Formats: sequence, C-alpha cells, structure tokens
Amino acid sequence: MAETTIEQNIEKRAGSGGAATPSHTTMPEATAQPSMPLRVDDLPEVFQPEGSSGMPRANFASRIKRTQLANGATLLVLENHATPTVSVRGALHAGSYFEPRDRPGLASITADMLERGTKRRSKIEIADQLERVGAQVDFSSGHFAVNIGARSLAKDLPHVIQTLTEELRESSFPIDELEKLKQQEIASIQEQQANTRYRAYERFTELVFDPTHPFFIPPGEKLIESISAITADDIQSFYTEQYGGRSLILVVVGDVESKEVEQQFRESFSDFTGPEKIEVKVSDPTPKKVQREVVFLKDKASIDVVIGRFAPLRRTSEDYYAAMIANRALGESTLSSRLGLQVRDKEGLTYGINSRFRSPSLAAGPWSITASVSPENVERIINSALNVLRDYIEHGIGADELADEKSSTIGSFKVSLSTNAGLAEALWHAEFYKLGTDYIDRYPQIMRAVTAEEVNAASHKYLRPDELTVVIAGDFKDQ
Amino acid sequence: MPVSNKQLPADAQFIAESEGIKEYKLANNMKVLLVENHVAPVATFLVLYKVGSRNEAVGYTGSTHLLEHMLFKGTPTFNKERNTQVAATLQRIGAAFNATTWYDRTNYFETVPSDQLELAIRLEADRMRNSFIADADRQSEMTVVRNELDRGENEPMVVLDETIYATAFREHPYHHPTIGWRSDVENVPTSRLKKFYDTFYHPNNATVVLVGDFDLQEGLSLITKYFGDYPAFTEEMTEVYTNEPPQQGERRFVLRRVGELALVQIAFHTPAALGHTVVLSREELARRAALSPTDNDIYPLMVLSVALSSGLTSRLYQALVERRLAVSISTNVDQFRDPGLFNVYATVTPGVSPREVEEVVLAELDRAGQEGLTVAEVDKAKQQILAHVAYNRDGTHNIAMQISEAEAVADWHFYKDYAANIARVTPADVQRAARHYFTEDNRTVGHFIPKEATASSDEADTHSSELHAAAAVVPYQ
Repeated sequence: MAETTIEQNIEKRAGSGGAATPSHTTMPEATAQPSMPLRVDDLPEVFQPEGSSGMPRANFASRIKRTQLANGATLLVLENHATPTVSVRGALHAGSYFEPRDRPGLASITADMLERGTKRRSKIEIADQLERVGAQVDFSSGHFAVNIGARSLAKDLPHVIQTLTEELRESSFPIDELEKLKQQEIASIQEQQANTRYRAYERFTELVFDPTHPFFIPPGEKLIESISAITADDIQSFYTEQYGGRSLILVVVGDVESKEVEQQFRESFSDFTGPEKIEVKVSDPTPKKVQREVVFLKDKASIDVVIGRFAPLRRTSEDYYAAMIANRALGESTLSSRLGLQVRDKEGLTYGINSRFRSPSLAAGPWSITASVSPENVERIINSALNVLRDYIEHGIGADELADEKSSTIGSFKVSLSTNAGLAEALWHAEFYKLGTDYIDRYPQIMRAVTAEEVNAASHKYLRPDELTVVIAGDFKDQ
Repeated sequence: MPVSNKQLPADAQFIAESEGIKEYKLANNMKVLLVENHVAPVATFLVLYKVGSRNEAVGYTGSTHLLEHMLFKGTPTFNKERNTQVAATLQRIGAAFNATTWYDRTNYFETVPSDQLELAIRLEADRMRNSFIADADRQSEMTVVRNELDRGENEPMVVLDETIYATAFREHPYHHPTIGWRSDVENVPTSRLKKFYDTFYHPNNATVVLVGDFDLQEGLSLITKYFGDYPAFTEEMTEVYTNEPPQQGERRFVLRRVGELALVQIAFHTPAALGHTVVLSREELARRAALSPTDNDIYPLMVLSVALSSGLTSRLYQALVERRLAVSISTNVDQFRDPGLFNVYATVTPGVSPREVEEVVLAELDRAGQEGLTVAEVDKAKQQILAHVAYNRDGTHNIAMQISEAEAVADWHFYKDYAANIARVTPADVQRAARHYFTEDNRTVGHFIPKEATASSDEADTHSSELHAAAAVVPYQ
C-alpha cells in the first residue's frame, strides 16, 4: 500500500511499470552480487564523528582523480570513506539519437540486451553472482547517452567493474533473450498507452518536434511495430557501430582507493576502440503557433495537461543558469513557485503543477508546464496557468524572488552532494557536458552572478506564451 | 557507552545510546533521537507523529492525510501574508522536504544545509501546535487531495491494491486506504481535522529525529528551546483496539476496468513488525519493543520475500517472467504496527490467463512450504537484505527515514537490530513461515481484468504520423 505525500516527484513516477510495492518499507525491493559474505559487523556505522572519515568541507576539484585513456575513455574517482559502499555512474554515446531512423527502440533494446548474457557467462550466471552480494549493474538508453549505473559494497567493486566491462565489451545478444525482452518491452509500452501523463507528453512531442528530432516520441503502435521487427543482426550492427571507449565516462564514488580503480579501468578499456561517430548535431525545430489537442482515454478519473513548446536551450548555452532560475521561480515547486501558489495553493485545482526544461542537453528540448486536474476544471487550470505565465513574462522576476531562487538552488545543490549517489551524478554531469572537474566548487558563484536582467531575458526567449502547444489527455472531449 | 549528562539542557534527560543513536527525553515526554554524522555539511530533521489512517473510522477516513496537507497552510509566524509560507521558507534555503502519511504515522522532514538547522527546528516546532487549520484552507486543499486521489484511481495497480486491503481486512482499520474514501475526503468537517490535530499533535505523541552535521549539545539545546515549552497532552489519546479476526476461507474478487494488462495480486495475513498477531495499546507496544523479541516471523518472511522475487534468480521471477507468463513480479511483506499482509504482485503477459499465473504463484509458495529453500538461496537473500541496509546508511535523509519507520511500528531498536535479526534467520525458519502463512484459508486473491483496450489508435490519434525518428521508451528523464 502506498503512502500519500504532500508532494510527489512526478518524473520518478511517470509511466512506471512494476508492481505496487510500497515506496518505503524498512527494507528492500529487488536488487541484484561477490565473494566474501557480508557480516553484520561489516555494516556501516550511522554515527560518523567529525573529522573521522567523512568528506573534507571544501574544494572537491583537488580530490577528484581524473584519468583519460588514449582512446578517450574517462574515469573520475572520488574517495569517500564514510560508508563501505560505492556508487558508479557512467555513460557512452549510444542513445536513441544514434539509431537508424527506421528502427526506433533499437538503442534501448541494445542497452537492455547488454545485461542478457556474454560470451563468457549466461544472464543467470551474471545475475546470480551479483545477487549473492547484493550488487546491481544497470544499463539504460536515453536520447544521447546509454546510462550506466551500479552500486555495491566497496569490497565488491572489482567484481562490479569486471561485470560491467564484460557486459559492455563481450555481450553475446542471445536470440531467445531478445525475444523475451521484446515481449516485455511491448507489454510495457502497452501499459504506458493507458497512462494519461505519458500519453499527454507523447502527443506533445509529436506536435512540437519533427519526426526526425531526438525528442519526438513515436506513437505507441509505431514503436511496438518497430520493436517487433528488431533482429539480432540489427543489434549486433548497432553495437559494432556505436559502442566503444571513445565516449565512455565512468564515475566512481565511495570507499575505494583511486589507484586501484584506475588500474582496473586501464586494463578493462584501453583497447576498447571506436566509435566513429559521437558528435551530436540537431537543428532547432520551427516554432509552432498556438495549438491544442485532446488525447481521449476513457474512464480516467484524472486528466493530465501539458502546456509547452520547444526551447532552444542547450546545456552549453551561455544563458543556461539564467534560464534555470527563470523557470524555477515560475514552476519548480508545486507548493511555493508562482504556479504552485496560484493554481494549487490558492485555487486548489491540482495535486501537482510544475514547469520544467525537460532535457536541456546536447540539443534543444521541450519546456513545459504539466499538471493533473479533474475533467470539470480543465479550462480553468489552463487559463489560470497561462495568466500566471503571462504576468510573469510581463513583470519579470522580483528582487526578493531572485535572491530566494539563488539561495534555493545553491542550498539544494549542497544537499544533493551529501550521498555517494548524488556526488556521482554531479560528477558525471560535469564530465558529460565538459564543465570541468571544478564545476561543483564553482556552482555557488556561478549562480550568485546571475542578474535579474539575464533571468528576464531568458524568460522572454524560452517561456513564450504565444507559441504554446496544449495537450489534454484523459476522459475529456473538446466541445 | 555512558554519556555524561552534565552539559545537557536542563530538561533533556539521557535515556539510551546504541550504535551512534542517542535517545533523550524532554520534560514534556517528547522523544528525541540524535545521530551525529559529519560526512557532508547537511542535516535532516524529522518529526514523527504516531497517528495515521489506522486512527480513522467511518466518516472521516483520509483525515490524517488531509491534516498533513493543512500543516503546510501556515501558522501566525509562517504564512503567505508575511511572505514566510511554510514551503517557500524551506524552498528558499534549498531544503529537500516533504511530509507523508501512512497507516501508522505521519511525518514531516527536511534535509537542509547544516547552517540552516535552527530554522528547520523552529518551523517544525511552530507547526506542531500553531497551525491555522482554517475552513477556507480546507476547502481549497480538499480539491487538491481529491485530485491526488483521482490520480491514484487512474492506476490499475493502485485500485487493485486498495481492494485487496479492503477485502483482507474486514474489521481492522487497515481496511481503508490512507488517502481515504472519496466522500469522506470531500465532506469531512474542518472541526474533525482540528480535533485530530488537538488530540495527536503533541510532544508526548511525537518522536523527533535529527541526523547529520550538528553538534550534539547544540542540536539538543535547539530542540529543547523550540519544543520544550509545549506541555504534554494529559487527556487520553484514543487507542485502536479493533482486531482483525482470523480469516476463515479464501476471499476472491475480480475488478473490471479499462486498462491494458491484467494483474494478479495475492495476499496473506502476517504478524505485525514486532511479530505479534493482535493490536497492542501504546503501552503494550512500548513494552514489547523494549524486549526486542527475536522470536518474530517478520524476519523469515522478509527473507522469503526476497528469495521469491528479488532479482533474476529468484523463484517467482524464474517461474513466471523467464517463462513469459508474467511481465513483472514482486512481493512485499508489510512491517506495520499492527498485523499486515504478505503480498505477491504479478503483471500478466498479454495472451496469458491470470488464472494460470495465479496457479504458478500458488504452486511456488506451496513448494517453499513443502520443500523449503536451499541454504544457498537463504544466504543469498540475507546478503541482499544486508547490502540494502548498508545502502540505506548513505545519506542523512535515508538514516532519518529508516529510524522514523522503526519508531512508527516499534521503536528505533527495530532499525538498529534489523540486520542482526535477519542474519539469524535459518532455512528452517523460512520453511516454517511459508507453511504457516501461505494457506488457502488465509489468502485473498484479486484479479484485475482490462475491460477493453483504451481508444488509443482510433479515437486518440487524429493525425497520421509518418514513421518517426528516435524513440525514447521513457520520455521523462
């Protein structure tokens, strides 16, 4: 049984499959690993006295060990001896952007197939050895990157890196596993097709982006059709074309010795060659006039609404930080942003309303306001949200508001760096977008330097009320 | 290790310490748990109230949760008019904050940069007793909660799960969902919420947990400063005494709604977190928690749950997902204040009958009871659980949440001793538990059958789209 909360993280829950296990018991859900069993005495202490084994307070840059091999593969290690665990985060350029136009879903299936057996071991053998020590290794495909995630007790890291290397370099793509995986993928797409939030967003991307754009999501049946047709040859040739050490990034944070990790990284990936193509070039779509569409889904109690446009913002854009603040003030928090205060707190129209740049990444992606609402309040919530947006664009950010957003983003960045997983994610982000290893240290001053003029200029450029696409998904019909 | 009392604030009394968790009691009987952890310059402050949907009854289900929402609506100190709205105040300092309600408890928590700790403590103390709970606020917040409820209703898994609990529990209040029944959520009067607030939101019904980068004396002084003046509530806090009688025969239902995939859920009654099978009063629960009974079937059930469904090599994954009968499978054992359920959840592969999936699940559960698990299986499951315990000690938020859950259903020793109690489980314990609980009379079975396919292709997609480009199976990243 699920607990209920004042606010839910929409992204995490969207379209999620999986069973309705509680989000928190005192204990685990599924996990997947090594050698010496863990004894109760080996568990980390919750008590960490000052100056004992924790992180020194300032300057991460000097403590990050960065290694780049001749083929381009890059390793970042940050030692954190606070708990005997380790988090691994990584990526390589083999996401859906690189798949053939007529094979949507191929990048995703290929990434998933990495876990389904190698030339040395079967899927079950790999899983069994990981599960024995409670370790996990996962691959998943995004728009540009295949994301790598792993965690284990620190003593098991060598086994985890060995498994990860074997899966990345020696996968055998067994045909029977491919058939099983395709069936599972298709079922999960079918399930998503009944999800109002997924359907609203899917349709929104179809209206805003051209079919050749990386952020365009094909309709469910097209995706199913494509996945059904994927063969082992397709996977093998995509793998050969796109996998290699050139774009590989691996970040390791935890109770490890950086020299040992570096040694293993060299042995594992020095001769991992390719791929030829890692550049990403995506041109911006043409802006759309105001448009509106309904995706009808019968017998749904709640409607999902997406109001947005494409925003020509890249992670490397100069006004990236100003744009982040511009959006935060409008709709970061469903409880205290402008949208939250008016639409939820005052009018009580929704449990959740937010605005987000979906993926300010290597290409310009969507910016959108999303909300759930009951069928009778659809027009009201759209009007209310648009009024808030127009007022914000017209009058700009307030001085206090700007100061609040700066302290908020600096504070929450600090909070996000308090776990191994959070640190690994931040280091990965800095490396993937070539921000430098000192990015984490520089972040507060970057944010403090943003001016109201820059924020307002970013609002005008990216959050344009005259170019919005509105999609409504649920048991609702336009008059 | 004995701790010197001499530097403590006058009205904070040292009670116990173990493995870095220090327990104190204020003069007003508020329990304080402190864990110093200087790994990063942050701290998590959490207030747990021992009131949840188990304390609700006919006509006011969902009110604990509605009240939780109301505690974001302000106090004379923290409010919109003064530009110090609760959420805005926390947002401004970059706090990661939320509040949650569940069967046994309500909790409020924030992880903050450690130099902002005092603000967090002051705010939580203020809303413990000074929240407005105004009728106008209830009206606007009711529709927010109703939308939260509607969103749940959109998900077949949520509806099936609610129906399982409502069927397996006929008398005990785990019968109704924490979000509440719709008409109760819509109609509960503000005075009822206020009554809940005035009955349960008191220092002697709360545990505060502080984990992270703070100085022990200073942390305790701040807590005493802001919470210490509230008097203990001396009137009686209503006890829950409704026991769920033993189930006498299988209960079964079919739920037909729109959806895409069929689901099967199977539940069995199990003991409470501390192993008891009846509802205990506050005092009885505290006594039992202090004894920290090792004779507790929850631990073998937990090992059983992991061995059955966690990971590719688990029994149900092998029997169902590998054989393509199910798309996904999971199990869970409730660890609640009162006796809960062991649940099996399966998403059925299109074209396979839910009945077949059910039969395979039941055969595997039966086999676990008849033949038991191998030593290797039990060891593997235990290792997985212990690894999770280790992962859950990464970060102050994780530690605070785990301690909070333990306090809600027993006390913090339940958290502290968990790993040792899991390590003690033997294959014989697991087999005995499987045989004892997985019986026909003790089970409730629910099938979710999709009524018809959603109107995806004919009605929804009014335009013809060519074959597209890149596919992101999951667009929300």
